[in-house]
Amino acid sequence: MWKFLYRLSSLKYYYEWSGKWVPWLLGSTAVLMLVGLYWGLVVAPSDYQQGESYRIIYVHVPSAWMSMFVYVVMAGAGFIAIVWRTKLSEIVVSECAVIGAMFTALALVTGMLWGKPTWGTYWQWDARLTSELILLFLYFGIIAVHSVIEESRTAARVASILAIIGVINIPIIHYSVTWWSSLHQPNMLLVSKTPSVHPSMLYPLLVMATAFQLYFVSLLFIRMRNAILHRERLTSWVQDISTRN
Amino acid sequence: MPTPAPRVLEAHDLKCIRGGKELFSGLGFSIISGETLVVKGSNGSGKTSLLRIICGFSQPAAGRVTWCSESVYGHENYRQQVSYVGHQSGVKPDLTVLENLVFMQRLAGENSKEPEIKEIVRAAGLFGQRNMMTGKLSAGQRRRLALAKLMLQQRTVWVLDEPLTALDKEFIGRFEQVLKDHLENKGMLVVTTHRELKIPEHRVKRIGLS
Amino acid sequence: MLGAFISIIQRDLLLAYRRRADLMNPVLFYVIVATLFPLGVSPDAEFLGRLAPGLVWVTTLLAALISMESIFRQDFEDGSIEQLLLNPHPFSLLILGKVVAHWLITGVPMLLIVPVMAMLLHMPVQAVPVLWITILLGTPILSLIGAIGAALTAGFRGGGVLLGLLVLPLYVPVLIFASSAVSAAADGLAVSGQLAMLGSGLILALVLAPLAISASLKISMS
Repeated sequence: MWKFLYRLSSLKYYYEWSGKWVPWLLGSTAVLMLVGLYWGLVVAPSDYQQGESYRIIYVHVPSAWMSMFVYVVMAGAGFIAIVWRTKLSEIVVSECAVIGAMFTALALVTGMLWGKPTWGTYWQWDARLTSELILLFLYFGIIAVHSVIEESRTAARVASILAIIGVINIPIIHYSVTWWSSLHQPNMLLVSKTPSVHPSMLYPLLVMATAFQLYFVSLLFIRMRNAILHRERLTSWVQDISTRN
Repeated sequence: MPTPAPRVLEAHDLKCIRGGKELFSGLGFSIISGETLVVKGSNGSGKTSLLRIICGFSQPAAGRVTWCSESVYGHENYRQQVSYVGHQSGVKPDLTVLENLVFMQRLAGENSKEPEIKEIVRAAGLFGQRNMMTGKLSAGQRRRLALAKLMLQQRTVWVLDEPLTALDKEFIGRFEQVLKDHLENKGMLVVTTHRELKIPEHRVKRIGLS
Repeated sequence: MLGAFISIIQRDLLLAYRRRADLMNPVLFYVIVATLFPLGVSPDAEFLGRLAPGLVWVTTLLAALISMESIFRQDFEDGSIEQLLLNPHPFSLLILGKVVAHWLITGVPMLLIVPVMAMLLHMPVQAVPVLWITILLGTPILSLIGAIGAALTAGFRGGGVLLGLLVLPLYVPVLIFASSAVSAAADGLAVSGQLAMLGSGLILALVLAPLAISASLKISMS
């Protein structure tokens, strides 16, 4: 196990190892995504309160989960990058920031689209939407670090520190926003946004959540492989690859 | 009387990358008490980067610098034994000459000793300017103040980045004497310089960067 | 060790005193923004009074952010940050000294001017003592968190704009609890819960932030 992890920390080894996994990851993502969407959009019953509009949860909820999960992965990689200074974990931090921001934006947009039929307005200062918005700002900050600091390793270390600070702060921010929202809008949630989840609705949701997880891993692998080629473009093994193709 | 373990400052296989460009690699040295390491090289060859790695401010891309076989990066004991004078001298322009030295000593946790500091200020030829704001001094005078810190701190390893810049001939002579005393006192010296330093030649090691 | 901690505070206070014209800047910023709100929103006393807790606290956040940019800049320029590292005392302790000095220089003037600002914005009188306490508890948290951002961006060009992007989202909990305490006080409600949250936030920040600041400075320095 440790030997494998140690070997994996070599960029060249990771590149070769991940290359074998990418097609399988993409394939299973596509299959699960199709199954989940069909199940969720066609098979699952409609909600007695919200009708068909609730079906957006099959995209909204998994992306909201992923927006937080990716942050935790990023902070974990950031911790490894600070303590052991492995290049691979630095690349994970940089790439997670972009993917996480994407999931967060998706959660926000789908949340707003869902808000229109539910609340009658696209934007409501609802606790969960507000937390997602602040999370998006945190991701933007980390992405901006890479554009301001040219030295990529330094940028990655700064981003790692930010990710660790963020992961301590996110629960505090989330708690304070929830508390704030309950204080200001006691009567706002006329229609509860979390429908009572019946198994017939839950199973497709879990399938979609798994599909999103796999999608994240595939995307991370592909992006990391690109980043590695860019970083190591002067080394002989990357030059070999480019001449072979 | 038992002799203390010999103190060695060593580096193995150092590599430094700045802005995507490799400045040096495979670099190594070893100096003991009383020895000097002179680093030569053109501008942008990585002299300052090397000195900062030796001080433990930054880590090399590969290899390591060791003090008594322990890595200097994050070494608590080592950093109390190093004096560094870089391009920025670490003196505050809005403090007077005396205040700069007093705070320097007090930040190191020692009670400031007024007579000792006055003595050092006199040796640096700044007694007349002792109550002047450092920002109003000439470049050479500021340099002398930065070097006066070496005498105040009395540490083992002196890391000096172009110490002779802006100094006049007379003071260079006096400063070379200070360096000689330091080396005779079992000190170590790491220095980059464009000019030749007059210090005992047989105890000097040299590396060139290109 | 305590001696070194105190002398770095003394040094930074002396340096600030030598440039005391700069001390007025956060205060002026505060007052000018306070005049902008009535011009931009409405001079109506009752309306302004309801908004005042939030307005004062958003202004505090911005003033704190603006002041943070300079905390390590000079030390980076004159090389004295490296000298602090070559020191027998824990780096994080010395850095905490710098943050304390910075708070004394920027936070204390805010404490003095904030009652005036509350008056200009027609804040209900019974809320002003609570506002004062929230500033007392809240601004040190802002300084500690802001110093992490300042440490991360100190060595880089364009770091100033980045600082706001990095730090402001982290200021959200302080804003929420502080302004809600002041609003509650204006309505004559209990505020102990919010103040307790601010107090525990301050303790948490005091314990964790110095470590993060010193780690960040070491990265910026390398």
